[in-house]
Amino acid sequence: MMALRKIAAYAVAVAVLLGVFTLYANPQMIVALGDMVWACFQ
Amino acid sequence: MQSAAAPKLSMTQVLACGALIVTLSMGIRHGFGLWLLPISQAHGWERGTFSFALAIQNLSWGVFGIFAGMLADRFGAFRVLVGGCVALVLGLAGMALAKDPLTFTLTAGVLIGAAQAGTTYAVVYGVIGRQIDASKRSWAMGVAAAAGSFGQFLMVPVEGALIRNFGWDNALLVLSAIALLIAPLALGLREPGFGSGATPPKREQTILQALGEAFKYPSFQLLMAGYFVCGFQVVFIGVHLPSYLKDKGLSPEVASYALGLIGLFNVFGTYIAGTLGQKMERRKILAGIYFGRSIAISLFLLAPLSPMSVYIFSAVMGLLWLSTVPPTNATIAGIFGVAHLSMLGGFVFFSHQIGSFLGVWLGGLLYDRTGSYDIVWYISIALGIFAAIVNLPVREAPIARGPAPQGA
Repeated sequence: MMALRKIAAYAVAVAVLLGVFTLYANPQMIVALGDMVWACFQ
Repeated sequence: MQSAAAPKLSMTQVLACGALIVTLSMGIRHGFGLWLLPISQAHGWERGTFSFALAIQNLSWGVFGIFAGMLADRFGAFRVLVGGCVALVLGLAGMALAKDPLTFTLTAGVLIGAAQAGTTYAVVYGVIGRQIDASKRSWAMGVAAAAGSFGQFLMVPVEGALIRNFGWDNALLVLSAIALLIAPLALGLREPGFGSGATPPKREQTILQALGEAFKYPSFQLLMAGYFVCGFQVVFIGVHLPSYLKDKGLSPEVASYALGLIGLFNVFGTYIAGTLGQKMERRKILAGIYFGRSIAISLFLLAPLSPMSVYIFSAVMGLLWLSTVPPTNATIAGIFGVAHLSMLGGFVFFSHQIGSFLGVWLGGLLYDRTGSYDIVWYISIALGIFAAIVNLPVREAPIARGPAPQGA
């Protein structure tokens, strides 16, 4: 039971992390973010 | 000052509230670079004005961290967290409303730096150290560090979206409102024995005695030296990697993915390091992390540069990014006990911040002088090897003390 709970918790954590990573994979977001970050060095 | 003898808060409560607090505080601050352009353009300031405020913020975080730690050890984390929350709310609002560079530096720089000191690792780790049994302490610190890493990972795109949708100033006010959540969460870290009606048990050491003991203990100095290197490497790479990739002709998308991968793997890395800290000697974990960074940087520089090499480097560096935090703090707790953990953690973090400052500054300075980042990359490799070597002789066993001094 504990093992199942642990696996479920890890699965939820990984799903959330991958969900957030999709924000970085959004082409619109990624270009805007990249431009803003690079603007710091221009 | 609370007795370290009996844990009184539930582990779930401490972890949930501590993790959410550092998620918010670390996350909110991590995306500040996104405001550089809009704020500079809106006020007609040079970018140096913004950068100066952020440099002051880093130093302020380091300096106030020591005092926040002292206050948290003496009066409890709850009061310091609430104070930090108020400073963060006011600092963010001030950042939105500041019309001149001085006000901006005082709010975005000094005030938010102080807020970070009062709401991040050193203060929360003090509670974890006191309330969670040593057999789970490193793991628990890993959970809290992973939460902070998750906050950084989450908030960069969220803050980018806030700026796009609400404008830079309203986005800051929204963040200011979100930061208010830290105060109710701090209730979960209100430790029995620190309240106004509580009778504090006798302290084994005064602040000065604890400081004197730590600074005379070689292992503490070695941990500080290692953490200095951590700050240098992490901030140099975090700030200058996009510029490096740009110089090498890679597209902006590669830089963004790189930052995303560092953030993603950082969450795993901090958690794994904390968990490993329960099972093996932490000095070896730290040496492995620093040595691993040197290897990763060397291979990155030697391999032909491509988007794939950048992604692999980012993932590996992400794993090693803040993974030094749990083993370093757990080692301090193991050696010196938890009574002055926040203060000692604050001192070690101050060393980290000096390294951070030098990493950013030297990166820019040497780039301007030589036209490349090569020298700073080499310095990072050498420092990683140095940090690996100095962490190996760290003695993790509790320090041997004589009888408690009279009246202390």
